[in-house]
Parts: sequence; structure tokens; C-alpha cells
Amino acid sequence: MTRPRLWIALGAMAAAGACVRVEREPAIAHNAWARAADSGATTGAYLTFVNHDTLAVHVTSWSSPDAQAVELHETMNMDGMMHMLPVTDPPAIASGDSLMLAPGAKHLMVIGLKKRVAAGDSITLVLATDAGRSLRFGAKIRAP
Amino acid sequence: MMTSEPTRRILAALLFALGACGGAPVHLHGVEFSPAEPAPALRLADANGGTFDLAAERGHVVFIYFGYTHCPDICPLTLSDWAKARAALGTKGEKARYVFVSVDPERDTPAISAAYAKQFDAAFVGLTAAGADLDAIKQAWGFAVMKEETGSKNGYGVAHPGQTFVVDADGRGREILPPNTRPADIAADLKALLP
Repeated sequence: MTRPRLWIALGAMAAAGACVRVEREPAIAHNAWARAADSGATTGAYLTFVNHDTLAVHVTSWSSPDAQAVELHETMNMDGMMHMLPVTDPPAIASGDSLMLAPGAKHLMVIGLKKRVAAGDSITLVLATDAGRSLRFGAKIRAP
Repeated sequence: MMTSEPTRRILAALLFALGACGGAPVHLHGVEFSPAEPAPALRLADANGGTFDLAAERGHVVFIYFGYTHCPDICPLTLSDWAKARAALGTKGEKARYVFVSVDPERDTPAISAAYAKQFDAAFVGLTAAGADLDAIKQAWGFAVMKEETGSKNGYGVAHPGQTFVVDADGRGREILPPNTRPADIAADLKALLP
């Protein structure tokens, strides 16, 4: 192959690659954030998880390399008393639907932080789905 | 709008009466005590060897929340919203006291509660209620606390009241703010209650 043709071929491959990269991910975590906290402490993390896939998704587990454990919990107001209970059934997110984790509602409990995190830092969160997919993303730390 | 002379007199009398009471009635965003009544006692040892005594806080509006430091959601949300309200009011926000009382003495020492509260604002007070003090506070303030074993790696949970108790500058209970009250509403209520 002559050098100009090689460049044209490489250009075409690069263009094709670019097209592949802009394809929508089957599931995306938006606006992930967590509250600042000391090393060893437990903090809350929040995000919106959007399922762009054509099938429903079940989130089967959460984890973080920056904490001992991550659990999905729900804060519930029962007659003025606040209870915080683990969500034991993996939440199902229908195709095109989303799961919103927000303060005072469903949230991630990030347990035993391995380091102190301050506003502007970030931690990594990982979620796994029943389809065998794993999604790794950063959560920005906000002032407590 | 045209008003007759008798109507004008009634309106004037009403306006005079309102003026005599210190202005228009205050509208608050929580559940108001009507009439306002003296707040129950709250007297606890602090982390510095002193005592926090609600009775000594006359002249300040006092926000009080009963929670625990292992709570990663509604407790930090409430204290964070207080901090936003305080910041939004500038120097007026400094005329109030913001008091977090842990109802989880098994894990929260007074020092842990104090450090926890100060994460949100250096002026916030963190206390711990234990034993007979906790029993007396629950009785007087009218709430319950329940330890809940949930199997979480975070340890047990503590069911606790989600509301903020607001005491005015005369030591009277004025309202109970529900959980998730917006910082702007907290700020508005504080402004309305300041002497």
C-alpha cells in the first residue's frame, strides 16, 4: 500500500472508531456525588442511574475501591420517625427508565472510607448488573 | 377600594392591635405551637467539660435536632440545610444556635458528636444524651428512639425523630420543621423569629 493510501485507510478506520465511541452506553450514572467525611466514617452517595438498554436491568451489587463496603439503603419517614433500612431486593430499572438516589430517600451508604474525603475530591463507585455488566464511575465530593 | 367609615374604623383598630402585638402574625413553614409554650429542658454536658443549657440561650433562636453520627443520610442532610440557611442570612444567621443531639450514646461520645456537628459549621453544637438524661429528654420532648438491627456493615441503625425543633428567643417552642425543609424556608423562619 502506498503511503497516501495508507493514510486514507487509517483515516477511515479512525472515523469508524469515532462512530463506535459515540454509541450510547447501555447504562449511565449521572451526577454522582457524596458528602465529605473522615477516614473510617460512613457517608451517603447519590446519583441517577439511567438504563438506555432495550431490556430491564437489575442492579445486583455496589462497591467502591475507596471504602470497605457500599450498600443501598432507603430513608423512610414513618409517623415522624426516620428509619433507614437496607434495600434487599435488587432494584429493577425498566428500559429507558432511571433509578434516582437522592438525600432523604434511596441512597448509597458508603461504609468505612479508606481515606478522608473533602469537597472537590472524588471517590470511585462500581455497580454490577444481572446482565454481567459492571459500571465504574466517579462521585464528586461535596461539602458536608 | 371604597370603604365605609365604620369599616375604616374596624380596620384601623385591627391594624392598631397588630401593631401592639409587635407586627403582623408570623407565618412559619413548620407545624406551629399555638399558642407558643415554654420549651422543655435541655441540659447536657458538652465535650469541653462545660454544660449546654437551653435555658441559658434566651435571646437566641435555637434549632434542635435529635439524630446520630452513623446516620449518613437524613442527619447530614438536615445539618447541611441548617448550614446553608445560616450562610444565606449572613450575620443574622449568627444570632441563632444550632444544636445536634446524638441519641446513640453507645457509639457517640460528646467529643464525637461535637466534631460531627462542626463539620457542617464551626458554630454548630454537638451533644450526646445518655442514660437518665436521654430518658428525660425523650419524655419531655415527646419522641421515641429505637435501635434497629438491619444486618448492615454500618452496624445497627437508630430510628429517631426527623423533625427540627425550633425554640424562639424567649425560650418558647414555636414550631417543628419537617424533614427535608428547604434551606430558604429555614432561613425565612429564622428571620421571622429573630427578636
